[in-house]
Amino acid sequence: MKKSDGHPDFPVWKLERYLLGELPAPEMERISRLKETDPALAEWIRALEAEHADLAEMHPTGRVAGRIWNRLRESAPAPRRAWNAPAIWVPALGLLLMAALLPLNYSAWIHSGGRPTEEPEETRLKGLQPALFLYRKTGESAMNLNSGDRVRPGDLIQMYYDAAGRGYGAIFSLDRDGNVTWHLPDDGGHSAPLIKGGKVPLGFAFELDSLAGFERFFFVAADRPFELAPVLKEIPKAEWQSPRGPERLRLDKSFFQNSIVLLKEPRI
Amino acid sequence: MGLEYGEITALYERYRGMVLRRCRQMLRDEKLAEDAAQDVFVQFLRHGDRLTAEFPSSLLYRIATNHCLNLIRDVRRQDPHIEEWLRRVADWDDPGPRLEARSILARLFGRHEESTRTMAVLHLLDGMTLEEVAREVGMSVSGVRKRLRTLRETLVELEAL
Repeated sequence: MKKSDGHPDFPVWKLERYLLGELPAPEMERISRLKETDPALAEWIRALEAEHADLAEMHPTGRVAGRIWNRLRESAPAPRRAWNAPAIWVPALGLLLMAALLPLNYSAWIHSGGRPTEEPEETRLKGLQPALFLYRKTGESAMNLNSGDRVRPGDLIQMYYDAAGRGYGAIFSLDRDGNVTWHLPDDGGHSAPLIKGGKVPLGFAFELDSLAGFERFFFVAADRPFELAPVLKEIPKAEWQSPRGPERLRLDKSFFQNSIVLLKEPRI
Repeated sequence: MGLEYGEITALYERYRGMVLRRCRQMLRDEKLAEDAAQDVFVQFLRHGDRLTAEFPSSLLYRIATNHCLNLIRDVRRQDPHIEEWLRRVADWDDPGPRLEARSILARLFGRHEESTRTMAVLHLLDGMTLEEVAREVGMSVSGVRKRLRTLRETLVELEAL
């Protein structure tokens, strides 16, 4: 769509705002009225809607919105509070009181649920554990994948994570030969800020290569930013050459870990 | 940050078409436009005026225009589209001198406020009336007219060098 093709009375920017309903009321009414009697104008508006639909397809929300969010988070100043602010010590006092009143077997109550591979030392309340989710994308639909599911080369894997309150994390996968593919962050040597508030898709789908065997996906999360290099060092390659290899990295207990292994069938 | 992820997705879905089309129009490069559009949303969400803007599309459009102009300046793209815009600036109100030197773009950018360049694009490339430009940038019509006149004078001056 070029400006030179534009409607003589309405430049593109104005028609876009008409579509958004963001023109002054008289102008909105004028365009609505003319659209009924001016086929060229109606055609222009249709073409603009079609162009926007194409752009939506080319630039899906999940990918870009996640990046925008991360950039905003990275630049946001850390919240600071004065120690004498009631917002700090009133809840803390409440927690102390609650702890004193809890039954002695509260530990069993806390550990009564949760997601795979969690350890008692890092367990929080049920439902609040970070988790990784994998889906196989097929056209417009997606199928949830569980550890041990079979996949094929060329399958598109969409990853989601649930930070469950953790602030930073990394997602990567290992194949049979010990090759590491970083999915989050997609560059740099530090963990990525995690988006809180439910399942968050990564900004892209990962296409499985043709190397048969398996692909094991890891989600490592922590409350603080961390370097990725030490995480990589904890990958003893010899132990990873089987899909039954360890589900956990030898990391400090301040890290939460979740892994899912997919069995890659050879291309037919 | 005070923003929910859902707010970002809603904003992006609503204005994605407009912002991306604008960036593509100005940069003529799909990848650059995609990155620029992302920058525009980030700038918008950091912008203090976004909460009071009657029409967010107006602010987003202005940010997109300005950001693309900065990118053009930074990479000093030799884009016929931008040259056409410069010619329009040079010809504005006066069929006299014609712009030829591509390097004028960089020098022009160096001499004027960002907002002036944005105004020139809105008026001369997008076909906004002076009144519409004034509303868009929150200035008086006479103020916009004055800024554009000064911009044009600079161009004529640069041409004469």
